[in-house]
Amino acid sequence: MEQLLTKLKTIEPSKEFQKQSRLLVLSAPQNIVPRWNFLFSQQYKTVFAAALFSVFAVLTGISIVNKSPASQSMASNFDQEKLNAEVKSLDINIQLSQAQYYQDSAEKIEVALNETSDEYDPAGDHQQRLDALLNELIL
Amino acid sequence: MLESEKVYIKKAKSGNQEAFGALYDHYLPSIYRFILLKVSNRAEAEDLSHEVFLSAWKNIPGYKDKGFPFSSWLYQIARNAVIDFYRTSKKNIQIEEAPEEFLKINFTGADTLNLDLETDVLKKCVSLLKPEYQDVVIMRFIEEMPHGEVASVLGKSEGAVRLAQHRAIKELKEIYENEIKKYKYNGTTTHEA
Repeated sequence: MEQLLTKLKTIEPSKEFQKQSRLLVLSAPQNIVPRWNFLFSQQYKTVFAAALFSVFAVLTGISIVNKSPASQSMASNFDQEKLNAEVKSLDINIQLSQAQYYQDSAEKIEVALNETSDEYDPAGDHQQRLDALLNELIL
Repeated sequence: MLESEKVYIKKAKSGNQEAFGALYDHYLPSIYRFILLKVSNRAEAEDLSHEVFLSAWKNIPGYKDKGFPFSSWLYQIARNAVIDFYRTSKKNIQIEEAPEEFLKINFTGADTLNLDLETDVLKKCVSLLKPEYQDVVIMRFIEEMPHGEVASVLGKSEGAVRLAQHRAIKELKEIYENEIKKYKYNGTTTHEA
């Protein structure tokens, strides 16, 4: 039976069909393989896997570092209460510099006024009252 | 297997028509035989063979070498084409349900392939086997493919292929002997399932 079956190997397509079909097949356009498909090709599979592993390792490393004591002290720098205190002290500093500015300008204005009225008295009541007010504001 | 097949495949993948032409010339006869023995009609076998190679040419840019010859891929396309053919044309009728006239084998039919009587009977007997046995018989005994390659085409283990081969040959012998007896008796044969 097996030997008899090999006789069927004599079956062949006609030359005319072979010629026509070949011409039609080869004149057809090929399908385009999507560009990202190269990532899954045998050649790039290892590289792609290595890149994925690297990203995973980096992310794991970051999460481990975040759990260490050093990172916790670093994280404490971002403590909300401390930040609020810093902001408040910043506000006081601003008020002080403003007071300094008012004092300087007030002195200059007073000098100018005294010069104008020829009654300039550095130890006068106005000056003393202004000093007292500024001291109140600063302290 | 075609010599320097890998070079041809590489070139064909990048759209080289000459390279695919060489693969076409080498594999067309075996794919055509495979299809013809399953559909038993020359015109349909030609149409399906054309479809197989057209599909192969279109899809070869995405072909991946899995360690088996290129022919395995072509046989897989051919198998699917034949399955689709029977599914769409609804010709896959059960032997038990088929009318007796349908199963008569006419040795002077229009699609005769100038084979001797014995071979012609055998060709028609192969077409009466169930599809899985047809695949095994054609690939193992006509195309002389190794078990591993047949297994890869059919998506089965080598052991399963060996078992199917044994059963297919046994069944084919029975069909063949019956057909020859009937022919000697009245000149035509009828397959009795």
